Amino acid sequence: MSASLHARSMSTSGEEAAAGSVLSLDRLGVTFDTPAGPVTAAQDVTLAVARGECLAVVGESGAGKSQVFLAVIGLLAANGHAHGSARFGGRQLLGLPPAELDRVRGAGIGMVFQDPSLSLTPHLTVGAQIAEVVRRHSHASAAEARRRALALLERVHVTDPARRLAQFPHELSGGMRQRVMIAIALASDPQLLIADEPTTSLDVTIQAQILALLAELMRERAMALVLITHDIAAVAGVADRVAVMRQGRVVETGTAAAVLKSPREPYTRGLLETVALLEARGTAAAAPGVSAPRGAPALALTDLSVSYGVGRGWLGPRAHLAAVSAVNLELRAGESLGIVGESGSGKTTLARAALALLRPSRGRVVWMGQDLGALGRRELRRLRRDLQIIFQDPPGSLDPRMTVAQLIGEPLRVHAGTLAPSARTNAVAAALERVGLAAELACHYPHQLSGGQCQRVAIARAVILEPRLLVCDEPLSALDLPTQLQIVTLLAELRRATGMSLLFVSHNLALVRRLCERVLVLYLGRMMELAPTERLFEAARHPYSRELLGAIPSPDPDIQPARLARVRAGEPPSALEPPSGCVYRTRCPHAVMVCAGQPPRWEDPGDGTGVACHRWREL
Amino acid sequence: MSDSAGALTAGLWSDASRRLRADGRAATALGVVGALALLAVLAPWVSPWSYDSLDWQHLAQPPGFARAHWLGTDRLGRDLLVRTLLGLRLSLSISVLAGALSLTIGVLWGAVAGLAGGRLDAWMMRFVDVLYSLPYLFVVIVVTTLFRRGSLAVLLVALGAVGWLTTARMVRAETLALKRRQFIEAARALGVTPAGILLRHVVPNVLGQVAVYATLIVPQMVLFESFLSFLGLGVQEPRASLGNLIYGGAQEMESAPWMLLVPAGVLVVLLVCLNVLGDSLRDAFDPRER
Amino acid sequence: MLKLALRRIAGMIPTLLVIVTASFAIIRLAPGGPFDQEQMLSATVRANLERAYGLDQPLAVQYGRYLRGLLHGDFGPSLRQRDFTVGELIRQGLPLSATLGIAATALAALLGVAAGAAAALWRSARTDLALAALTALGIALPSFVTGPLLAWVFGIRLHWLPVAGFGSPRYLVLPVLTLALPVAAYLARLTRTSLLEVLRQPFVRSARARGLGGLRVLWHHALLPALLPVVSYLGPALAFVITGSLVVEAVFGLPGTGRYLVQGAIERDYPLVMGMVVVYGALTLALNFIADLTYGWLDPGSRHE
Repeated sequence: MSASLHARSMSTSGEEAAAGSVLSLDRLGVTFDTPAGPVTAAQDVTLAVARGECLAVVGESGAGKSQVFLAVIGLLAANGHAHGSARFGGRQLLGLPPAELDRVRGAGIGMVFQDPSLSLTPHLTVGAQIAEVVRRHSHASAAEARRRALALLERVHVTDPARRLAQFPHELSGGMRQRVMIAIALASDPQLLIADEPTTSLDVTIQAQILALLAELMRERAMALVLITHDIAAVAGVADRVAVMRQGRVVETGTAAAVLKSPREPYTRGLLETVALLEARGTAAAAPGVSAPRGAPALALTDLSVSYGVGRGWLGPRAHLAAVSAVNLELRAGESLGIVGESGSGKTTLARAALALLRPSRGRVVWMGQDLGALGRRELRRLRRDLQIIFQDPPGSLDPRMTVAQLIGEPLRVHAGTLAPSARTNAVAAALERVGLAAELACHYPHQLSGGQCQRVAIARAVILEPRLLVCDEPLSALDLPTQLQIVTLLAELRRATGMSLLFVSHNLALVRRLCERVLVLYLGRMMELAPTERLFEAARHPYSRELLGAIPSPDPDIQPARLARVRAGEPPSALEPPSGCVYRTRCPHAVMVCAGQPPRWEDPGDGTGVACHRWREL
Repeated sequence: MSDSAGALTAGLWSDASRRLRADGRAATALGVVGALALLAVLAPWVSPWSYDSLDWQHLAQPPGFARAHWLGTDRLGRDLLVRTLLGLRLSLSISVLAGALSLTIGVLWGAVAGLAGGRLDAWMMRFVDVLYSLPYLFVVIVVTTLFRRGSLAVLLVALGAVGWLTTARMVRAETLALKRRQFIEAARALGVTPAGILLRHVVPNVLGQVAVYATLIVPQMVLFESFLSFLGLGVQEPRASLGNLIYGGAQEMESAPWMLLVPAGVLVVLLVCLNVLGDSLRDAFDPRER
Repeated sequence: MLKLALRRIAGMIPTLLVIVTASFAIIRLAPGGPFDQEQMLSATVRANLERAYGLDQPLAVQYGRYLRGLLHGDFGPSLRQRDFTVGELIRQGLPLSATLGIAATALAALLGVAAGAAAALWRSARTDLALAALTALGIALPSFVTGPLLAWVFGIRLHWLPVAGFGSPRYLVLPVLTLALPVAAYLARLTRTSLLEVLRQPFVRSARARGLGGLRVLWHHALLPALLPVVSYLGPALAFVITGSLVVEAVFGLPGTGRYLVQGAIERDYPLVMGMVVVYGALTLALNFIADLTYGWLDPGSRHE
């Protein structure tokens, strides 16, 4: 599966390869006119990129990184102005008339945007969008353009490229859409490729694949590459030079080795430390005192399966999608368990089913000895005070019309209705303090809070009644790195203080390390491996676990490039038509005949761990 | 990305009212509507003439402030000012009542359908679709054909009965969108009862849109009623409504243009101001206008 | 696409059936039957008349005959216009009304979309204000006000165009204009808002970044999504035109089906009224169906429901 297809290289551009830089910015600044006065998005930005070199521009969101490069190609919003100098191949770009800029865009500079689901025209086929760029910048005929489009799709490792040409963007997965965007940007043979947060909305494994692809393309075509991202760890595998931006200014630049291994600026050091802390070994695993003594499991999932009907046929749904299949899991009181998988792995569905927010199609959920599926609605509602959840979209999980105090106090109203108003106010104040929020935020509305503050409110709401189980459904993916660290620390602390059990769902294996004692790895709704966290990180048994581990970026420029080069191609198959036998076999480098024949059994050596793989003993 | 939390969905009442107050057009429109409404209420006491008193000495007289009839008279000698104001009063009251009726039915229908989902939702909306496929005026015409023409109660019911369709659709769409929002799921996870979810979480979040609709439905009703009266199916002579006044005026266009221009002017001003108000309200609630 | 079409048609049939059944029910069961207005008839004459019109059969049979009649375009006799059947009246008036409606819709679409697009593309504080004012006026002014006003200005004062009756296409100019104005105003506003919204979308910026040139981006990438709301408004727009035509025909004295409908409503000519309702209902359904199909054809994403 890791065949790297080297399509014949595109039209060799016989243009000069200037020994100097392809793009050089000199004291570039960007300001916006707003009703509240002019706002400076960036100032004094001085950067340069040469051919065959990758410059990574790193910073938190709002640091102005994208605006700088949008200004370079003249795509700022109508109320934005750029000043300073931006030279491309020696030519000043700022202030060029639109016709000239159009020629530079595409032909000289290609740009790949964040969130490909929004950046591809929805009503044009993939092939049409690529071919149109080809024909615009060369004199190719329609047939020739189509051929080149096909070749480009092959070059970016899109599976089944001939079929994709006629498909629309919404029919493709996120990773494939991003590849299409890259193909479009390459279609005109640019000398510089600017990639603006190209991996943010993608799974960790796909992120690694896209980064590897970009690195490959850069070397093959001797292009210059500018990589804009907030994830400082991800750049280590690709970047030759790194620039760190903060609040519109460049605070540090240098070679990747210099910036990532021995940063000069405290801000850069802070960013790197955050990454290190997030991925550090958690204290949870090391301190056994926290978990209650072994006894009956608090939560037990037996043969749990959830499937959905899909499509509207005449007599019912046309197909069934098994989101979760045959999951057996036991969670002891006070234990923390991580559930890890890519999108489509069913982890969100599993989390919901564990709380009886979904009805399983098979199997049982038993909490403290009670079968949740058999309970009446009222008893189930009453039990909910012990079963709580926080969600992926912090502002979205809060009713925009309620104040913070009302939001946090709602569980009290539902489950402790007899509480006097004064007692309620005190409880809310105490909860606010516990999650580290200032008391005066109590009368604020969600839209006045930051993402991190919203998540804290959600946590306060979830723990105010001291639940026995807290499920966290990807609570960090919408947050910045420093905020992620804060929330993780908060959760760990709360767990230590109250002894509640934790079920932490994430697509990023690195994040669970700090919080969870055991980890369950899911793929297409099926259990792949269940192991104590440290053992998983040190000696994972299942090939998929190893793939996930390999995809975690490490901010070390000495190791990461090699790891990136080893990244395997492949995406999760469609859940509607899972592969026969072991569902992972289409991506597994160790697949053999038996893997296609029968699904592997779950093998539990007796210590509460397990793995489902035919060949795990030999690998 | 943890963007500044300003980017959220529904605006808040305080936020919206702040923007509304700052909007000059809306303030003017509100003022005009208020003035008209006041005039409508005071109509019977504004002038010594009543709507059907005939002044034989001043037949078809053009407007003039020095004269006995400020806005002139019609062919039968009836004072145009009084008739116009009374017509305004009648049109407004019917429209507001019919609007309120439509709104109530529409909101309840849409919210229940949206929350219930499944079969009930499908049947409820199928019913709406059937009615929707007929141009509304036809249904009203059929109803007024069947029952006593000129009865205000019938007119009211007919108007109210067709206006709720769009409201129901809109409320249902809003409810469906809300159902998918995570805070509804969060409320379920907290153990809130379905009724609690409806009352505490769904309704407050839909009210904003409903308020906008409320202001836009009144001019719609005024228009319907005027249409019908113009065609002879609504308010009957000798009672005056803006619609039948305009009809009468259109007949006399060549010789006595004021008979058309006065009621038409009042109607146009009323409609424009109500629409401007409704638009401003919609903009005030639109989060993207930030 | 075909499946979408079939599903829509399947959905329309019950609606049509409901309309037809309601129509039948109202005709047969409403007060003020066919012969009540006449002077007192003797029992035998009455019985003969009823037999001639088939009114003595059981209701189910009458319903069946009604349905069969409908399929042949026979809507039964008109109650008030004794010499004509409803079908004949409809056939007389339909061509004119149809011409009026189609011309008005076409004009409104052209004017409205062009004006809205222009306002979006050449945006300035002044154009925003001008368009807002014009559209507010256009939407708020009812056709029974603009109609007489236009007639007064262009017909009576300037003597350029005729104001009543029908003789040559010139007679249609003012009616079409009157009918088209509100729809054009609404379409202008809709187009402007929609185009502005689309131009803000990430995929438009992405297309510009490919160096395709402003015109191509606009035409190829932005126009279609911007027009989608306009297409989906076509259904309600047609309904508006149909109802508006009633008033316009009344104001300008055009001998179209609208006039018959209003007259029939006033005179309680049930078969005429319900016949019109059935025809217009079927027409609305058919036109909505076409609008839905067009929308589905233009927007690939909506086909996968």
